[in-house]
Amino acid sequence: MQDIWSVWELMGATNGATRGEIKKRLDALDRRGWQLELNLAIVGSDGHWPANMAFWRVADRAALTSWLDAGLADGLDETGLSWGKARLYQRASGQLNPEHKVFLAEYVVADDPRALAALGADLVLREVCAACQGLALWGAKDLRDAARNDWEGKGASGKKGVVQASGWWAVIPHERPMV
Amino acid sequence: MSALNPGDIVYEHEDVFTLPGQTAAYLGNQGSHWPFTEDCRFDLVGIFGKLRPLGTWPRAVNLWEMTVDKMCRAMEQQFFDPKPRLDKWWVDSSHQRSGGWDRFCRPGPGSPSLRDIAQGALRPCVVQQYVRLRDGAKQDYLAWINETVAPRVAQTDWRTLLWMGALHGSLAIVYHAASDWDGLLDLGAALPVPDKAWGVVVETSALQAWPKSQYLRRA
Repeated sequence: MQDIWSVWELMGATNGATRGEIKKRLDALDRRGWQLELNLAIVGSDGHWPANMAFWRVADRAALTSWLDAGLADGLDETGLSWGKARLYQRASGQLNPEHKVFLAEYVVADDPRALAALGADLVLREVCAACQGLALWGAKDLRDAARNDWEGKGASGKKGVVQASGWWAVIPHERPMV
Repeated sequence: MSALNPGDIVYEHEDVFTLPGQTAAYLGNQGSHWPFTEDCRFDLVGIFGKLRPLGTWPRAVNLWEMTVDKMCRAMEQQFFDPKPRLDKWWVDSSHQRSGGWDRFCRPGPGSPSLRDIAQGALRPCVVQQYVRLRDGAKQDYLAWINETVAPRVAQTDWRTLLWMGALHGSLAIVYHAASDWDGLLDLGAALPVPDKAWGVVVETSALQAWPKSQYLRRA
Protein backbone atom coordinates (compact mmCIF):
# COMPACT_ATOMS: atom_id res chain seq x y z
CA MET A 1 0.00 0.00 0.00
CA GLN A 2 1.31 3.41 -0.99
CA ASP A 3 1.43 6.13 1.68
CA ILE A 4 -1.79 7.95 0.72
CA TRP A 5 -2.80 11.45 1.82
CA SER A 6 -5.79 13.69 1.18
CA VAL A 7 -5.09 17.37 1.77
CA TRP A 8 -7.98 19.78 2.08
CA GLU A 9 -8.13 23.55 1.91
CA LEU A 10 -11.23 24.96 3.57
CA MET A 11 -12.06 28.60 2.96
CA GLY A 12 -14.34 30.03 5.62
CA ALA A 13 -15.65 33.56 5.96
CA THR A 14 -15.35 36.32 8.52
CA ASN A 15 -19.14 36.25 8.69
CA GLY A 16 -19.33 32.46 8.42
CA ALA A 17 -17.02 29.65 9.49
CA THR A 18 -13.87 30.97 11.19
CA ARG A 19 -10.58 29.07 11.39
CA GLY A 20 -11.45 27.96 14.92
CA GLU A 21 -14.85 26.75 13.83
CA ILE A 22 -13.40 24.85 10.86
CA LYS A 23 -10.78 23.23 13.09
CA LYS A 24 -13.53 22.13 15.48
CA ARG A 25 -15.59 20.62 12.66
CA LEU A 26 -12.60 18.72 11.31
CA ASP A 27 -11.71 17.40 14.75
CA ALA A 28 -15.29 16.20 15.25
CA LEU A 29 -15.66 14.52 11.85
CA ASP A 30 -16.19 10.76 11.52
CA ARG A 31 -12.71 9.81 10.31
CA ARG A 32 -13.46 6.49 8.63
CA GLY A 33 -9.99 5.20 9.39
CA TRP A 34 -8.22 8.39 8.33
CA GLN A 35 -5.67 10.09 10.59
CA LEU A 36 -5.74 13.89 10.83
CA GLU A 37 -1.96 14.48 10.91
CA LEU A 38 -2.09 18.29 10.65
CA ASN A 39 -4.94 20.74 11.14
CA LEU A 40 -3.37 24.05 10.13
CA ALA A 41 -4.55 27.65 10.18
CA ILE A 42 -3.47 29.54 7.07
CA VAL A 43 -1.62 32.74 7.98
CA GLY A 44 -3.65 35.80 7.06
CA SER A 45 -0.56 37.87 6.34
CA ASP A 46 0.76 35.37 3.79
CA GLY A 47 -2.19 33.35 2.55
CA HIS A 48 -5.95 33.43 2.13
CA TRP A 49 -8.16 33.88 5.17
CA PRO A 50 -9.96 32.71 7.11
CA ALA A 51 -8.89 29.28 5.91
CA ASN A 52 -7.51 25.98 7.16
CA MET A 53 -5.54 23.09 5.72
CA ALA A 54 -6.19 19.53 6.80
CA PHE A 55 -3.59 16.83 6.13
CA TRP A 56 -5.28 13.43 6.29
CA ARG A 57 -3.31 10.21 6.13
CA VAL A 58 -5.39 7.39 4.66
CA ALA A 59 -4.76 4.05 6.33
CA ASP A 60 -5.44 1.75 3.41
CA ARG A 61 -7.52 1.21 0.27
CA ALA A 62 -10.57 0.31 2.32
CA ALA A 63 -10.38 3.59 4.22
CA LEU A 64 -10.10 5.54 0.96
CA THR A 65 -13.07 3.71 -0.52
CA SER A 66 -15.05 4.21 2.67
CA TRP A 67 -14.94 8.01 2.38
CA LEU A 68 -15.75 7.98 -1.33
CA ASP A 69 -18.63 5.58 -0.74
CA ALA A 70 -20.07 8.02 1.81
CA GLY A 71 -20.76 10.24 -1.19
CA LEU A 72 -22.25 13.66 -0.64
CA ALA A 73 -23.35 12.76 2.90
CA ASP A 74 -19.92 12.38 4.50
CA GLY A 75 -20.91 14.41 7.56
CA LEU A 76 -18.88 17.60 7.06
CA ASP A 77 -21.01 20.63 7.88
CA GLU A 78 -20.42 23.01 4.95
CA THR A 79 -22.36 25.88 6.55
CA GLY A 80 -20.44 29.13 6.39
CA LEU A 81 -17.71 27.77 4.12
CA SER A 82 -16.95 29.77 0.97
CA TRP A 83 -15.29 26.82 -0.77
CA GLY A 84 -13.19 23.77 -0.20
CA LYS A 85 -10.57 22.02 -2.30
CA ALA A 86 -9.03 18.59 -1.83
CA ARG A 87 -6.30 16.67 -3.61
CA LEU A 88 -5.35 13.04 -3.30
CA TYR A 89 -1.66 12.31 -2.95
CA GLN A 90 0.90 9.63 -2.36
CA ARG A 91 4.09 10.43 -0.46
CA ALA A 92 7.01 11.16 -2.78
CA SER A 93 9.69 11.94 -0.18
CA GLY A 94 10.33 13.12 3.38
CA GLN A 95 8.17 12.99 6.46
CA LEU A 96 6.60 15.34 8.98
CA ASN A 97 8.97 16.69 11.62
CA PRO A 98 7.14 16.92 14.97
CA GLU A 99 9.34 19.88 16.01
CA HIS A 100 8.01 22.00 13.16
CA LYS A 101 4.97 24.20 13.88
CA VAL A 102 5.18 26.74 11.02
CA PHE A 103 5.04 25.79 7.34
CA LEU A 104 5.37 27.09 3.83
CA ALA A 105 2.84 24.98 1.90
CA GLU A 106 3.40 25.02 -1.85
CA TYR A 107 1.52 23.53 -4.77
CA VAL A 108 4.18 22.53 -7.29
CA VAL A 109 4.06 21.54 -10.95
CA ALA A 110 7.25 19.85 -12.17
CA ASP A 111 8.33 18.54 -15.53
CA ASP A 112 9.02 15.09 -14.11
CA PRO A 113 7.87 13.17 -11.00
CA ARG A 114 11.52 12.71 -9.96
CA ALA A 115 11.96 16.48 -9.77
CA LEU A 116 9.14 16.63 -7.23
CA ALA A 117 10.62 13.89 -5.08
CA ALA A 118 14.01 15.68 -5.06
CA LEU A 119 12.70 19.00 -3.71
CA GLY A 120 13.99 18.41 -0.19
CA ALA A 121 10.99 19.71 1.76
CA ASP A 122 9.93 18.15 5.06
CA LEU A 123 7.21 16.31 3.17
CA VAL A 124 6.62 16.09 -0.56
CA LEU A 125 3.37 14.60 -1.81
CA ARG A 126 2.57 13.84 -5.45
CA GLU A 127 -0.91 13.64 -6.89
CA VAL A 128 -2.26 10.13 -7.41
CA CYS A 129 -3.78 11.09 -10.78
CA ALA A 130 -1.18 13.67 -11.92
CA ALA A 131 2.33 12.47 -11.15
CA CYS A 132 4.08 15.75 -12.03
CA GLN A 133 2.00 17.78 -9.58
CA GLY A 134 2.43 17.86 -5.87
CA LEU A 135 2.46 19.61 -2.54
CA ALA A 136 5.65 20.52 -0.71
CA LEU A 137 5.54 21.29 2.99
CA TRP A 138 8.58 23.19 4.25
CA GLY A 139 8.63 23.24 8.03
CA ALA A 140 10.22 25.52 10.62
CA LYS A 141 10.17 25.46 14.39
CA ASP A 142 8.90 29.03 14.69
CA LEU A 143 7.97 32.10 12.66
CA ARG A 144 11.49 33.56 12.76
CA ASP A 145 12.95 30.41 11.24
CA ALA A 146 10.17 30.35 8.65
CA ALA A 147 10.89 33.97 7.74
CA ARG A 148 14.59 33.22 7.43
CA ASN A 149 13.96 30.19 5.25
CA ASP A 150 11.65 32.07 2.90
CA TRP A 151 13.94 35.14 2.80
CA GLU A 152 16.90 32.96 1.86
CA GLY A 153 15.03 31.17 -0.92
CA LYS A 154 14.16 27.85 0.68
CA GLY A 155 11.15 26.66 -1.27
CA ALA A 156 10.32 25.05 -4.59
CA SER A 157 10.75 28.08 -6.82
CA GLY A 158 13.95 27.85 -8.87
CA LYS A 159 14.58 24.19 -8.07
CA LYS A 160 15.49 21.87 -10.94
CA GLY A 161 12.49 20.77 -12.98
CA VAL A 162 9.99 23.08 -11.25
CA VAL A 163 7.55 24.64 -13.70
CA GLN A 164 5.19 26.37 -11.27
CA ALA A 165 5.17 26.89 -7.52
CA SER A 166 2.75 28.86 -5.40
CA GLY A 167 1.91 28.70 -1.75
CA TRP A 168 1.49 30.39 1.60
CA TRP A 169 2.29 30.10 5.27
CA ALA A 170 0.26 27.93 7.62
CA VAL A 171 0.73 27.18 11.31
CA ILE A 172 -0.31 24.85 14.07
CA PRO A 173 -2.08 27.54 16.07
CA HIS A 174 -2.44 28.03 19.78
CA GLU A 175 -5.36 26.13 21.26
CA ARG A 176 -7.47 29.30 21.57
CA PRO A 177 -10.24 29.47 18.94
CA MET A 178 -8.87 31.26 15.88
CA VAL A 179 -10.99 33.77 14.00
CA MET B 1 -10.41 22.46 -37.93
CA SER B 2 -13.33 21.22 -40.04
CA ALA B 3 -16.20 23.41 -41.30
CA LEU B 4 -19.23 23.62 -39.02
CA ASN B 5 -22.07 21.18 -39.70
CA PRO B 6 -25.37 21.77 -37.82
CA GLY B 7 -25.48 18.06 -36.99
CA ASP B 8 -22.03 17.98 -35.39
CA ILE B 9 -21.95 16.83 -31.78
CA VAL B 10 -21.05 19.35 -29.11
CA TYR B 11 -20.94 19.06 -25.33
CA GLU B 12 -22.04 21.69 -22.86
CA HIS B 13 -20.02 21.29 -19.72
CA GLU B 14 -21.19 23.15 -16.60
CA ASP B 15 -19.35 23.43 -13.28
CA VAL B 16 -21.94 24.71 -10.82
CA PHE B 17 -21.20 26.50 -7.54
CA THR B 18 -23.72 24.78 -5.29
CA LEU B 19 -24.46 26.31 -1.90
CA PRO B 20 -23.28 24.58 1.30
CA GLY B 21 -25.15 21.33 1.88
CA GLN B 22 -27.24 21.71 -1.30
CA THR B 23 -25.38 19.61 -3.88
CA ALA B 24 -27.49 16.46 -3.55
CA ALA B 25 -30.75 18.41 -3.79
CA TYR B 26 -29.46 20.34 -6.79
CA LEU B 27 -28.74 17.16 -8.78
CA GLY B 28 -32.36 16.04 -8.74
CA ASN B 29 -33.69 19.52 -9.40
CA GLN B 30 -31.47 20.20 -12.43
CA GLY B 31 -31.72 16.64 -13.70
CA SER B 32 -35.52 16.59 -13.73
CA HIS B 33 -36.22 19.93 -15.38
CA TRP B 34 -36.39 20.91 -19.06
CA PRO B 35 -37.09 24.62 -19.66
CA PHE B 36 -36.90 24.87 -23.47
CA THR B 37 -39.24 23.69 -26.24
CA GLU B 38 -39.28 19.98 -27.03
CA ASP B 39 -37.91 20.43 -30.55
CA CYS B 40 -34.55 21.43 -29.14
CA ARG B 41 -34.41 18.88 -26.32
CA PHE B 42 -30.95 17.38 -25.89
CA ASP B 43 -29.39 14.78 -23.66
CA LEU B 44 -28.08 15.15 -20.14
CA VAL B 45 -25.20 12.69 -20.33
CA GLY B 46 -24.64 12.94 -16.63
CA ILE B 47 -25.05 15.11 -13.60
CA PHE B 48 -22.58 14.73 -10.77
CA GLY B 49 -21.63 15.93 -7.30
CA LYS B 50 -17.98 16.48 -6.39
CA LEU B 51 -16.77 14.38 -3.47
CA ARG B 52 -14.64 15.41 -0.51
CA PRO B 53 -11.41 13.41 -0.90
CA LEU B 54 -10.41 15.06 -4.20
CA GLY B 55 -11.94 18.00 -5.94
CA THR B 56 -13.46 21.39 -5.24
CA TRP B 57 -16.66 21.61 -3.24
CA PRO B 58 -19.47 22.22 -2.88
CA ARG B 59 -19.79 21.80 -6.63
CA ALA B 60 -21.89 19.94 -9.18
CA VAL B 61 -21.18 19.13 -12.82
CA ASN B 62 -23.72 18.93 -15.64
CA LEU B 63 -22.65 17.39 -18.93
CA TRP B 64 -24.98 17.72 -21.92
CA GLU B 65 -24.61 16.24 -25.42
CA MET B 66 -26.33 17.92 -28.37
CA THR B 67 -26.00 18.94 -31.96
CA VAL B 68 -24.73 22.38 -32.86
CA ASP B 69 -28.20 23.16 -34.23
CA LYS B 70 -29.91 22.37 -30.90
CA MET B 71 -27.22 24.23 -29.00
CA CYS B 72 -27.97 27.38 -30.98
CA ARG B 73 -31.74 26.96 -30.69
CA ALA B 74 -31.58 26.61 -26.90
CA MET B 75 -29.33 29.66 -26.61
CA GLU B 76 -31.75 31.65 -28.79
CA GLN B 77 -34.62 30.73 -26.45
CA GLN B 78 -32.59 31.64 -23.38
CA PHE B 79 -31.27 34.99 -24.55
CA PHE B 80 -33.40 36.30 -27.45
CA ASP B 81 -36.90 34.85 -26.96
CA PRO B 82 -39.20 37.35 -25.16
CA LYS B 83 -40.87 34.42 -23.35
CA PRO B 84 -38.94 33.85 -20.11
CA ARG B 85 -38.63 30.05 -20.33
CA LEU B 86 -35.74 29.64 -17.90
CA ASP B 87 -36.25 32.56 -15.56
CA LYS B 88 -38.60 30.97 -13.01
CA TRP B 89 -36.48 27.85 -12.53
CA TRP B 90 -33.37 30.03 -12.43
CA VAL B 91 -34.76 32.16 -9.58
CA ASP B 92 -36.46 29.27 -7.76
CA SER B 93 -33.17 27.37 -7.68
CA SER B 94 -31.14 30.22 -6.23
CA HIS B 95 -31.23 28.56 -2.79
CA GLN B 96 -29.24 25.67 -4.29
CA ARG B 97 -26.53 27.38 -6.34
CA SER B 98 -24.93 30.79 -6.66
CA GLY B 99 -23.32 30.60 -10.10
CA GLY B 100 -20.95 28.50 -12.16
CA TRP B 101 -18.72 28.36 -15.21
CA ASP B 102 -19.54 26.60 -18.49
CA ARG B 103 -17.79 25.65 -21.72
CA PHE B 104 -18.93 24.28 -25.04
CA CYS B 105 -16.63 21.44 -26.04
CA ARG B 106 -15.95 19.32 -29.13
CA PRO B 107 -15.41 15.60 -28.67
CA GLY B 108 -11.78 14.57 -28.93
CA PRO B 109 -10.68 12.10 -31.62
CA GLY B 110 -12.10 8.65 -30.85
CA SER B 111 -14.16 9.84 -27.87
CA PRO B 112 -17.34 7.73 -27.59
CA SER B 113 -20.84 9.19 -27.80
CA LEU B 114 -23.54 9.01 -25.12
CA ARG B 115 -25.07 6.10 -27.04
CA ASP B 116 -21.75 4.24 -26.82
CA ILE B 117 -21.21 4.75 -23.10
CA ALA B 118 -24.81 3.96 -22.12
CA GLN B 119 -24.07 0.26 -22.57
CA GLY B 120 -22.42 -2.45 -20.52
CA ALA B 121 -21.47 -2.17 -16.87
CA LEU B 122 -22.79 0.81 -14.90
CA ARG B 123 -19.95 3.17 -14.02
CA PRO B 124 -21.24 5.79 -11.56
CA CYS B 125 -17.81 6.50 -9.99
CA VAL B 126 -16.11 9.16 -12.07
CA VAL B 127 -12.74 10.88 -12.04
CA GLN B 128 -12.83 14.14 -13.93
CA GLN B 129 -9.73 16.04 -15.04
CA TYR B 130 -9.64 19.65 -16.18
CA VAL B 131 -6.45 19.95 -18.18
CA ARG B 132 -4.95 23.35 -18.89
CA LEU B 133 -2.47 23.22 -21.74
CA ARG B 134 0.04 25.35 -23.53
CA ASP B 135 -1.73 27.13 -26.37
CA GLY B 136 -1.72 24.96 -29.47
CA ALA B 137 -1.23 21.64 -27.63
CA LYS B 138 -4.89 20.64 -27.25
CA GLN B 139 -5.27 18.46 -30.34
CA ASP B 140 -2.03 16.58 -29.68
CA TYR B 141 -3.07 16.04 -26.07
CA LEU B 142 -6.52 14.69 -27.01
CA ALA B 143 -5.01 12.39 -29.65
CA TRP B 144 -2.65 11.08 -26.94
CA ILE B 145 -5.63 10.39 -24.67
CA ASN B 146 -7.19 8.33 -27.46
CA GLU B 147 -4.07 6.45 -28.52
CA THR B 148 -2.16 6.01 -25.26
CA VAL B 149 -4.17 6.84 -22.15
CA ALA B 150 -7.50 5.12 -22.89
CA PRO B 151 -5.87 1.77 -23.77
CA ARG B 152 -3.77 1.81 -20.59
CA VAL B 153 -6.74 2.71 -18.43
CA ALA B 154 -8.71 -0.12 -20.07
CA GLN B 155 -6.22 -2.58 -18.55
CA THR B 156 -7.67 -1.68 -15.12
CA ASP B 157 -11.27 -1.76 -13.91
CA TRP B 158 -11.63 1.83 -15.18
CA ARG B 159 -12.60 3.12 -18.61
CA THR B 160 -11.80 6.49 -20.14
CA LEU B 161 -15.37 7.54 -20.71
CA LEU B 162 -15.14 10.78 -22.70
CA TRP B 163 -12.49 13.31 -23.71
CA MET B 164 -13.15 16.72 -25.18
CA GLY B 165 -11.63 20.11 -25.86
CA ALA B 166 -13.17 23.53 -25.27
CA LEU B 167 -14.36 25.25 -28.45
CA HIS B 168 -12.02 28.13 -27.67
CA GLY B 169 -8.88 28.29 -25.56
CA SER B 170 -6.62 25.44 -24.50
CA LEU B 171 -8.78 23.60 -21.94
CA ALA B 172 -9.35 19.84 -22.27
CA ILE B 173 -11.68 17.77 -20.07
CA VAL B 174 -11.31 14.02 -19.54
CA TYR B 175 -13.64 11.61 -17.74
CA HIS B 176 -12.65 8.19 -16.41
CA ALA B 177 -15.28 5.95 -14.80
CA ALA B 178 -15.65 2.70 -12.86
CA SER B 179 -18.30 0.63 -11.16
CA ASP B 180 -16.84 1.30 -7.71
CA TRP B 181 -14.05 3.21 -6.02
CA ASP B 182 -11.95 0.20 -5.03
CA GLY B 183 -9.45 0.60 -7.87
CA LEU B 184 -8.89 4.36 -7.70
CA LEU B 185 -5.19 3.92 -6.93
CA ASP B 186 -4.90 1.55 -9.92
CA LEU B 187 -6.28 4.29 -12.16
CA GLY B 188 -3.62 6.67 -10.85
CA ALA B 189 -0.89 4.12 -11.49
CA ALA B 190 -2.12 3.55 -15.06
CA LEU B 191 -2.11 7.21 -16.09
CA PRO B 192 1.07 7.97 -18.06
CA VAL B 193 3.11 11.16 -17.71
CA PRO B 194 2.25 13.60 -20.53
CA ASP B 195 4.77 15.26 -22.83
CA LYS B 196 6.32 18.15 -20.93
CA ALA B 197 6.09 20.32 -24.07
CA TRP B 198 2.31 20.45 -23.66
CA GLY B 199 2.57 22.38 -20.38
CA VAL B 200 -0.07 20.24 -18.71
CA VAL B 201 -1.65 21.40 -15.43
CA VAL B 202 -4.41 19.12 -14.17
CA GLU B 203 -7.24 19.64 -11.69
CA THR B 204 -8.69 16.27 -10.66
CA SER B 205 -12.08 15.66 -9.02
CA ALA B 206 -13.95 12.59 -7.85
CA LEU B 207 -17.56 12.74 -8.97
CA GLN B 208 -20.59 10.77 -7.89
CA ALA B 209 -23.12 10.41 -10.70
CA TRP B 210 -26.79 11.15 -10.09
CA PRO B 211 -28.45 7.70 -10.48
CA LYS B 212 -30.84 8.94 -13.19
CA SER B 213 -28.05 10.27 -15.40
CA GLN B 214 -28.67 9.16 -18.98
CA TYR B 215 -25.35 7.38 -19.36
CA LEU B 216 -26.42 5.09 -16.48
CA ARG B 217 -29.77 4.16 -18.05
CA ARG B 218 -30.11 0.78 -19.75
CA ALA B 219 -32.82 -0.29 -22.16
